[in-house]
Amino acid sequence: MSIASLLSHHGVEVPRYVTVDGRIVFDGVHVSDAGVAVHDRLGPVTPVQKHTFHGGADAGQINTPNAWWDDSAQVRLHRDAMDRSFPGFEYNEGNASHGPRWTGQIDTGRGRFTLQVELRADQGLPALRVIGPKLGAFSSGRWVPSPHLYLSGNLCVADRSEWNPVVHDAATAVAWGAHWLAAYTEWRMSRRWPIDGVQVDAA
Amino acid sequence: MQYTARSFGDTVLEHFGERRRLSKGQVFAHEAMETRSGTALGHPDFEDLAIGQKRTTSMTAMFIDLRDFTGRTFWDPQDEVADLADAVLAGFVETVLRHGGYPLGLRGDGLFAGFGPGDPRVGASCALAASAFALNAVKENVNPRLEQMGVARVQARAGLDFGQITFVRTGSVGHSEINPVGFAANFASKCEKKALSWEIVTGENLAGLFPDATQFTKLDPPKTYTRDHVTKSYHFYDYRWTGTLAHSESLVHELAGNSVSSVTVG
Repeated sequence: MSIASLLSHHGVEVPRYVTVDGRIVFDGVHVSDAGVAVHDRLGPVTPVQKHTFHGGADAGQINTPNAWWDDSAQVRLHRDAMDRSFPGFEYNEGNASHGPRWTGQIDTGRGRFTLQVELRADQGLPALRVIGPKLGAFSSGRWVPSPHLYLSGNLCVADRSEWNPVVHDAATAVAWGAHWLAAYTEWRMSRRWPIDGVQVDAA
Repeated sequence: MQYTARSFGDTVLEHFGERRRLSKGQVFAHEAMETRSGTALGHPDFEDLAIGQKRTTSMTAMFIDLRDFTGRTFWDPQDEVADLADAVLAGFVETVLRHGGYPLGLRGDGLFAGFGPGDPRVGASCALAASAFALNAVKENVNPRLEQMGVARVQARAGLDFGQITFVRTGSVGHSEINPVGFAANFASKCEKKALSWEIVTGENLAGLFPDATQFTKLDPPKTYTRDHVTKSYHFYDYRWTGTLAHSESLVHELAGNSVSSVTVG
């Protein structure tokens, strides 16, 4: 996604997509009339929706004994989206202590990460966390944490206002997480966060 | 392997050291010739042109050269000047290739390169990134190392423009060369001459590819062209390049030796 970042640096925003294993691509994608996006070598891809990277304190999880995820039809929408976009992710049902979760591998092409997405009881911006490896880098013998992390260590993939629970689903959040990790792997090389996010709709 | 300013510096200093040893007779010419490549500079899409045949395409033309080198040729030993120019130009050639462009020819103490065909914004962006990378590498890596060797610093600058370039094979059987001609190439050369040391200047067409970019500043006065009592102007643009440097390392990694023509957007 370095070429896309360079274009963005010059004020040109290009649509970005994420492959089923988490790689961000912007070229070689064909979108059918039905809106299905396929990369010519890498297969099905999911559009990365508009978002901007942030930081600070995250919203925290709201625990509730009667959550929306008790309605299987509502959860099904997220599960179907995840099965289409990231079939390798493993699902864990929501309960009184945590929301529905999916955990899987993201391969940016420059590094592999175990990413977990958890939906919130208030249907707000999902929590995204990397189980491993630790996010940051040594600089002059000192550990420097990655930019765009919440104080909790979760990934800050978007502003809370950018999340629309009517339109977005768990796969949207994982796509944002993959985009965040692609930027992170560039930051590891250059120590400069390459991009603010995505400002165009991919499809 | 990562491509950094230090990599550029290594290429330049290795070439310079090798050439100096050859010039001083510390190695024999035939040993140096073993590293000679038979590949001429040029664009592979146009190598098949017959004499007199031509083909036109759109691309970004880039000129990058060493500034005030004429003064150096006046003061310094001829051998050392030639070896230094040769070494830095080898670094420029490597940078262009790594950023997806084609070195099209050497022009004295400068290099003429093309980025394209393909998406104009991709070619222009990579050409700008290559220029920024080369200027920074000369300034921050090569110069301190030259100074340590007791060799005076060099200064570099670059000029670029986007537009149609016609490749024509000129000459006779057995003695021909492909000559890229067109306004973009001519104006890129003017941009280079307009640039001061460590500056990148572009033409209006290239800046126009990026209407939302904040790095371009229109320069006055423009160049004017008059014919049949009609005068038209065409502007130079200063390009602020330091913010572009951070993109080069991962860009080179992503291109992985491919040209900008292989990149499609959307």
